[in-house]
Amino acid sequence: MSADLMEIDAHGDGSQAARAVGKEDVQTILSALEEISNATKYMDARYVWRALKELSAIRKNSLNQEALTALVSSVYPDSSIFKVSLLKYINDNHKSSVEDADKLRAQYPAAFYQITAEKTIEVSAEVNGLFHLLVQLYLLDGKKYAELNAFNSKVVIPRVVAFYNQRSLDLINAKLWFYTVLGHEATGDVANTTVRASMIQFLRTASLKHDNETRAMLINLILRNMLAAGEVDSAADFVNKVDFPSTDVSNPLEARYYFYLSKINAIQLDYSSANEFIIAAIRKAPHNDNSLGFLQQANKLHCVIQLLMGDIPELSFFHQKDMQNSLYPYYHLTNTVKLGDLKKFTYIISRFKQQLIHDSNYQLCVRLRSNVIKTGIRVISLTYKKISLKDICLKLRLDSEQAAEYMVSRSIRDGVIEASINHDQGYIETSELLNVYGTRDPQAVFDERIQFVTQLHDESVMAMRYPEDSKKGNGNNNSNAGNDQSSFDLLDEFSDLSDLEDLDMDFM
Amino acid sequence: MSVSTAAPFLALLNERDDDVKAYALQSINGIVDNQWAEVSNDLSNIEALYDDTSFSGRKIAALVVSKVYYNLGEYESAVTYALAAGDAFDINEKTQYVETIVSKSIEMYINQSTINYENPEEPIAISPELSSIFEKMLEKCVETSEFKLSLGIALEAYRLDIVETILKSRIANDTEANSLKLLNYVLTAASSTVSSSLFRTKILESLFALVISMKNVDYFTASKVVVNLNNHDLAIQLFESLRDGDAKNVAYQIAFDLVSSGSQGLLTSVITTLRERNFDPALLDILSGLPTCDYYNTFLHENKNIDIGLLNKTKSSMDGKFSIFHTAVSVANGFMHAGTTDNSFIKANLPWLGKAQNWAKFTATASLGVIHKGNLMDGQKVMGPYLPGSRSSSRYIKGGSLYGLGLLYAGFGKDVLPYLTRQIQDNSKNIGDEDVDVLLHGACLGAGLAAMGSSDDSVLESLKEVLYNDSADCGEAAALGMGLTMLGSGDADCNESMFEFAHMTQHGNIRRGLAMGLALLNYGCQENANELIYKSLDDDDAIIRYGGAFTIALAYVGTSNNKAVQKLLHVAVSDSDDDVRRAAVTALGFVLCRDYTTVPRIVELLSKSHNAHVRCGTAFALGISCAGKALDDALDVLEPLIKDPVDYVRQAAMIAQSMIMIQQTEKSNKRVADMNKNFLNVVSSKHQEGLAKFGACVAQGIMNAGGRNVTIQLENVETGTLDTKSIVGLVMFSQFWYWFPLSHFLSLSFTPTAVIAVRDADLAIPKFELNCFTKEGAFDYPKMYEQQASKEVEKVATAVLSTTARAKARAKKSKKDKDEKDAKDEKEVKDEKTTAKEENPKEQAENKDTEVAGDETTRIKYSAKPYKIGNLSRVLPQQSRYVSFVKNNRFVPVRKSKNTSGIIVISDSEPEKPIELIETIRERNNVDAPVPAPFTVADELDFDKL
Repeated sequence: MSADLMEIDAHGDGSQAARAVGKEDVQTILSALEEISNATKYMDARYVWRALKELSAIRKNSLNQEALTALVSSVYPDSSIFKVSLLKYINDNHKSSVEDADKLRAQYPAAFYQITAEKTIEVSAEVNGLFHLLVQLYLLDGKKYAELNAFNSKVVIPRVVAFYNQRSLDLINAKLWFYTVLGHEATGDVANTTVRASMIQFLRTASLKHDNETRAMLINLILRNMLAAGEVDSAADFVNKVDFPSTDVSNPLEARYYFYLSKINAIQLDYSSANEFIIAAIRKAPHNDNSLGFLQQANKLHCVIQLLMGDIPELSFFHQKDMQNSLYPYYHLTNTVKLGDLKKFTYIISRFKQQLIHDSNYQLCVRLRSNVIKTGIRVISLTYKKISLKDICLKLRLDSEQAAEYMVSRSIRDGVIEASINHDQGYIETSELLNVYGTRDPQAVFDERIQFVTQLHDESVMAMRYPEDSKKGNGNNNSNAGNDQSSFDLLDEFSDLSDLEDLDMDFM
Repeated sequence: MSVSTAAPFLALLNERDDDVKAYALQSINGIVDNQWAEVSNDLSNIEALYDDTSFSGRKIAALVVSKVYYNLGEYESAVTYALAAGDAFDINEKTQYVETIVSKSIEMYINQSTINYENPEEPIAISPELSSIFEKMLEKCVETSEFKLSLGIALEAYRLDIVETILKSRIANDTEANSLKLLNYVLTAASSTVSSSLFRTKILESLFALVISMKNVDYFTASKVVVNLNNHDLAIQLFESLRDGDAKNVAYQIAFDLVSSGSQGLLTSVITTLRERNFDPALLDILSGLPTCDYYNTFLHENKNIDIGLLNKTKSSMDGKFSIFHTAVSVANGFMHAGTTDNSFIKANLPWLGKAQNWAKFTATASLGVIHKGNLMDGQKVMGPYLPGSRSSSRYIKGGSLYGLGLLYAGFGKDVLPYLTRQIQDNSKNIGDEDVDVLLHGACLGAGLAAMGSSDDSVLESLKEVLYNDSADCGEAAALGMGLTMLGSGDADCNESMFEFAHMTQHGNIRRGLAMGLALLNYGCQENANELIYKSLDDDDAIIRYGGAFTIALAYVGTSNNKAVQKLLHVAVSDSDDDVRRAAVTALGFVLCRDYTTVPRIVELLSKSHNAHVRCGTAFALGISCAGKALDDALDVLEPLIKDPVDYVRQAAMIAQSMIMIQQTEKSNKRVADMNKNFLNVVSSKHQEGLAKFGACVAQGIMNAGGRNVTIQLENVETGTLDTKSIVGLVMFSQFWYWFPLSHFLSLSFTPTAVIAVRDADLAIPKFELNCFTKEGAFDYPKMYEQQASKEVEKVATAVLSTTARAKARAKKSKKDKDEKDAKDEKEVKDEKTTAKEENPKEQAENKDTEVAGDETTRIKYSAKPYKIGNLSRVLPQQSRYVSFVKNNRFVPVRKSKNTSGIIVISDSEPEKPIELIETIRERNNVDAPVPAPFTVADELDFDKL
């Protein structure tokens, strides 16, 4: 009650300022809309990308109820089928008082609109998509999760995502899906099967339409959903059957895909491919503040996988910028593995259990026990030319000699140590160390690196985009030149980070 | 139903009981869309169930398998299993799955039937389910009135029967206009997108039958079919049906169309048959081509606008001592006067003509034939003084005149053929004698031109005789003549013997002649020429490969065939011989000439090649494909080539430019002025190489061709067929690289841009006016070259230095908003003005005029208020859209068409009323006095009283 009164009181002077602020917000959003309408005008989906880049700024500064209400009421014609539903979720259908909406509409670029089959004027697909995205963001930021979920299931999916069939919408569709799922997760409903069903269905549609961005996004979301439900087998099945689009996909999506792949593979004991994937994920991910959360998660997983493979990460790995804190438990874990100290290992695992579970790496870390033992054996084999199994058993505090014998033979088989067991007398004898440089291994490793570098080079060359014939641009009209300039800016860094940002710390 | 796993059902599949399995499959079918990843693990199991013929649920098994494959993205297997599912697969279900399967199955059906059509020997069996789905979908299409769609799909799948049924039912049930639209749609589709020529012929034949069977026959559509087919029997049938009806004027119009686009062979045979059946002599007369040529000559003569000053200037800057320059000027002169029958330049410059040596003399004499091109009545008389047996002594004049005679009668040569053949036969015994060789060279070319496309046996035999004598000079001409005579016949015997002889002869010239002859022989043969193409392109001899490239060009001319383009591009970048590469790039221009807007994009990279021959070929390709189209993109690509360091690239670029910009005015295109200036500069510059000068001079000739009243067009606007003569002209013209006299061939490509309305009653040209709905003067001729202007230009060049600053300031002040380029132009004009002011007030006024004109380089717009143009006047291709007959006038065109140009038959609503007629050249030169009007003799005339 009092709040209402306050508003009425403040009406006199406060609204003036509010309106000014509102106007500015409206202007910012409008400029994004104009950018996106260029996509219709020039038939170039890159403009959508550019508009989406401005999204995080808009989200921080100008996304508020007044601005959205004003814009929706002025941009959408009254006959539009989307207007009512949008307004309902923005301000519960309160009458908005934008005078001269028609006049304002006349001022907007023609590219905002399109003519429907029934000969009525409708907002163009791109602009409409962006509006729905803005409303999603607005609801998400306002923590109105119930409304957000209702909005998603009643409006976004059936009436926007499934409604249009335009390639310029690919990027927006992917985002709409992302926030739909995020809405569900915000309410704690991480493994919703109905959402998964509709995602699988739409994945088919997207691949029929060659909508690669949405395809990639949906594959990621489905994997995430399955992993959250603990259905690792079905996830692996799914990954094997579906082909992740290799072109026209933004890097963050690829990074996430590789991350999930790595996770699945690690759980399924295929550490070496898991390692490859996680490296790819880290490389593909953009390295800046927004993607920090993802990078932290990826590095944690990377660390565990390395340990599982029997490698010990360098010390510098744990001192990466902004990673020290989050990698702290893993640092200790690595230490115990390196030392081969089983007791300390058990202690560390129990000490950081909560954190590891939170990172959902606990299952993997528990598997490290055998690695600790192996390392112990290696240290021993390096130190002693010949040692009895009993001593090993004592040193490593194993249960029995049999267990020690088993562990040693396994280490020999895995190539951790070069030794032979004398079963009769119960000792092991370390054989002479091979000179690695006498083998072909360095050659192979060197070859691998060269392969990698040349592949990287090829990929970069292929990814380059050349400007249109410069002669034409300058000759015909100078306004084009400015356009080209700005598209260069676009090329500098077209990674879009908002989704990684959202996943941040609470990733998985 | 959201079940998170399909494992229980999959486990059921291993049960023994069939009912349990069937139940499991039913359940899996329900969840397969979500759980396909899991189901796909057991795919082989389910497939085995389908293969088990005793199993009752095998159809549902097939459906499940199909759905899994669909989700896996393997659409072909999905379709196969969906078809196997039979009733379980519901075609009318509105799901994405069904839609996809249906569209994929149509795709598959089209693919398979295409393969079947291409290899009729070993057909793949198309499953009946697939065809039934295809037919069902087409029926659906027809039910929803998507006729064009269904016709298109049916054509793609080679289902003529379906096309016919649809068209027949439409003709029976729909209005005439609508069904005609559909017929025309099929016609265009057949001639532009159907790639198999055999199938095209079948479509067109059935179309003809359909059109003729209609209640109110649309004869013009039928005539389009006839022209496309080039079929004698159908033409006769058409004229027969026109005779039955009372539609003389329609027959006339069709006859005129046939003359402008049918081959000579077709025309001759049609005339013979029609004569036997006692047809209207006027119709026969039209079909002989005489009136057409006569009208065009009259038009070109009446409207000639020859820039003789420019020609004189060029002549004086090109020293006649060098035969290349002499040739260049005679060729340019020929082009400028082509068809106008105006030989004043030659008459005025006889001493210059006398300077010509050897083959330059040959060319100069032949240029007379170009000037009198189409003057069928007096041709022999005009060339008479130079022909063998006359006073002239030089063998080059004799040979040249015979060649000229051929050019004059090109494509309408039945009057001179006996004479030319006799010349060949009389002289072929003495081959080896130099006199005879030159004469035969001219005679063979002439005979080939005159007999073009007639497949005349006697000509062919006599040419063969010359060829087998293996003399370098006349052998080449004979080979080309054979190609021209047999143009487009694809004759197997000829193909073989020519190809064989090409390997036997020692002379490169003859080999090249044969290679080009083979190309001509296979004009428009498409896949029938494939064997020859592969054979020639694989040959060790570069000259044969060169011919192979041109064979592709002509066999696939205007088809934009992907394979042909691919092959050419491959040759263009990979052949070891420069000439072959050049030929391959040039050939691209022919293959893509209908799709000319794509050419600049395709050849753009080639135009930057390090190989000068490839660059040169690029220029030719652009010039050929975009001839007369003034396409800006093409000019952009040519721009850098004009300044190329290599002389022959510049030459080709300039010629290409002029071909593209022919008949453009400074108002319609800003570049014209610069181009013309550049040509003149090159011609008069001392530092340019001979080849570049030659190019510039010929380019000037093309820009001003036919008294500035002709254009080059490769496609007949009215019938949509390719203009064979134009294409042959361009192909042979491109051979000027080796043999300058062949440049004259370009005259075959010149089409007069005129509107000529002919009264149906007497085939006379009445004087009356038509409307042109644009601003008057938009299509005026560009300014003529002025002698003193050159001096002034020099003066301006010096004066600019002193006045630049002032003029600049003024220009800035007055035209701030104008963009930079305009301002620059403006400035120059102003500079001229300031200098002129001191000299001559009269010139200033002139300059003002140019200034006004300069501002008007705007787009041509439709204006509501028309201005009048007379009958028999110049109408540019870009203008013809705006020209129309005056409503409710006395004269009404027989055919309704948006495009008003060429020869149009009109009917006179008041035939009794006298009207002034335009006298044609034939009438003027006719020695026979016209029959006097009937008069009565007064009986009582008393002679004594006189």
